[in-house]
Amino acid sequence: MRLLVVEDDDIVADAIMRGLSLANFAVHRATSAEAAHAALANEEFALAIIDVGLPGADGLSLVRRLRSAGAATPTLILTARCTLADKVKALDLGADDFLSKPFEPAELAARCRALMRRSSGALNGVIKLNRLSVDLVGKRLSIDAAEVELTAREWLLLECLVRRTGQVVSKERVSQALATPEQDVSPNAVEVHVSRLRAKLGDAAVIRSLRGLGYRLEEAKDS
Amino acid sequence: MLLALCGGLVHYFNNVAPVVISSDRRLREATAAIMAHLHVEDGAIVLDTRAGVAPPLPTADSVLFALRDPQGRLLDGDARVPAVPMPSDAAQIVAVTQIQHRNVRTLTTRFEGAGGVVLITAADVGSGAESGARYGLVSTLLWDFVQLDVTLVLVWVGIQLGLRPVKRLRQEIAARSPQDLRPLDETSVPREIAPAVVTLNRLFAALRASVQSQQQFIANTAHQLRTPLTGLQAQLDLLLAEPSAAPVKDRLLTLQEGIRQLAHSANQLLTLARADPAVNLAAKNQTVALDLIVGDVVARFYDRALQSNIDLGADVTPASILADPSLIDDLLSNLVDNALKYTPAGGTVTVSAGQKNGNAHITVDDTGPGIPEADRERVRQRFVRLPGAPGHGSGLGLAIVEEITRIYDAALSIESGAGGVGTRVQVQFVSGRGPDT
Repeated sequence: MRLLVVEDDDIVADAIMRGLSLANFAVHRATSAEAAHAALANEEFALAIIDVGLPGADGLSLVRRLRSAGAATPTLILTARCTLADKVKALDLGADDFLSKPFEPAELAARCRALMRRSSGALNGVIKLNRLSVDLVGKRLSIDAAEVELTAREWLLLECLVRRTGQVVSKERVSQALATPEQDVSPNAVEVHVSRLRAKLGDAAVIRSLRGLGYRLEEAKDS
Repeated sequence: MLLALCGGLVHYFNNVAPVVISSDRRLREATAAIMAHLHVEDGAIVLDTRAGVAPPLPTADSVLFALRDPQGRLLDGDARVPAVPMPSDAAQIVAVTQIQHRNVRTLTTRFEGAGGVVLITAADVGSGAESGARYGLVSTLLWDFVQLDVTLVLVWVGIQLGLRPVKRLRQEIAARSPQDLRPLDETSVPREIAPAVVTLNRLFAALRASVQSQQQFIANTAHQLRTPLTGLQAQLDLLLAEPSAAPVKDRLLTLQEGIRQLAHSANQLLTLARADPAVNLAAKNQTVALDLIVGDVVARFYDRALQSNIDLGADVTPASILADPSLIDDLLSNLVDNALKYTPAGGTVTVSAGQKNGNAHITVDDTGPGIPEADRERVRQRFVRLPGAPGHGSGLGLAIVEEITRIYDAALSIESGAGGVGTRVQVQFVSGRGPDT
């Protein structure tokens, strides 16, 4: 499926399209909210990248229109305004992610991949992370197609982190995910589970510990 | 008081004075009559009491009289009339004396004839009007006084009641935060001050419009600056990745660094403009959880810290303030940006937030070279960069932080880090002084 880019500025649009093509995405461009709406009516897109500052109806109104029409296409909002209020507004309207200008093409491609992973994970229950394949329904992890055995706690930990790949998951959230009705999990115990899971993932993925905050799962960089 | 005195005077002239004047006339006439009856016998002055001498002597029901020698001995007349002491040089004297427990007005006249000197004292017992009038004067004065006091109290109460809406208005304005530019209620104020409220509201509206147009200008400028910069930066990034660009890669990298600086400066200037307290006059504040903001900012800067091999971490306990979350994000981002910029590889940067002495705070500790004590005030100014500062900062970071702390009456302190190593920058939000929502 193609990606839809809604951006009126030619230089920016050209850079986005080149960057996404390099990341092996096929892209269609629209220069206004109206044109984007027409394109969305004709074709199903894997993702819509929408600039807020469009001539005529702005990008946020396009997101609102999409969501009220029940479209599930994931949306990534681009904006030159980077106040938190704008971000919150965009997410409230139903956007899935938010990126402020200026951004690096690699960052945009990574966000697109993450969004599509999330939507495909929700669709067929399998999240592919470079060499990892996480089957959320069958509760199976494979690395390079080889299945890896996980304990129940390690699986809960992986599931908690993989659903938010690239994002920081707080220690409290991880503790809650690992706790059972019978047993709470102390921060030290969480750390133990994390280091065991790290060992099992090897160099296929990285779990970073952010001091005082929590953990972040990263896909291994392309070789 | 003065009014009461004036009132008393008016009363005196209206009521007491006529009584006194008529009494005086009566006494003078009586004295003249008595004088007409005096004649000398055997070298002494005696009173001729025979009838037929005109004018007749006064009757005892109107005027009593006594004749005395200068030593006060009674020669003739009524003994009840007391002797009135009289200076030797006076010819006539008016005095009020007591006769049978009544205040009586008397006129004493020195009469000199061939038989020597006699003092004629005539006492006006007929009317008693004067004492009545005087009594009336005193009671009237008292009554006036009471009336005046009651009036004064009523006036005071009236003024207080009348000023109540003004007071309420004053309190309403005083209780407002400087950010609050909502119009005042024009319907609940009395007619007298309504024009003032309308004028104030017009002023508020003008200020709101000016703040809004500034905000709009900043937003438009942000869009106009950032969009082409985004295009340039992204195009350059892509060009750098192309194999055909290899021969000019160094020059492209220089170009890329220049654009990065330009983008950074533009961003910082826009943030500084947005952090201007005047631009935030009508800002809507909300509860901002500092611990969550710290989490966001640290997560955002984590990759950069990773690249620079700096251990970036957080140490938070729940704490919240009333503020614009974007500005608190800007504040912390600039502090963390600075800390990462100045901390060498292998160093540590820790962002903490929490409550201390009842005040919420954000603190950033780094293990960089520290800021000399003499420079700690100077670095808060715009465009000030210390000699030897790495990279190409704009010198706006701490100025932005300073502006934002001004909006929220927060205290910004710059100290040495723990054990004299590095820098500790702390922003303390004084609780209870947060702007209202």
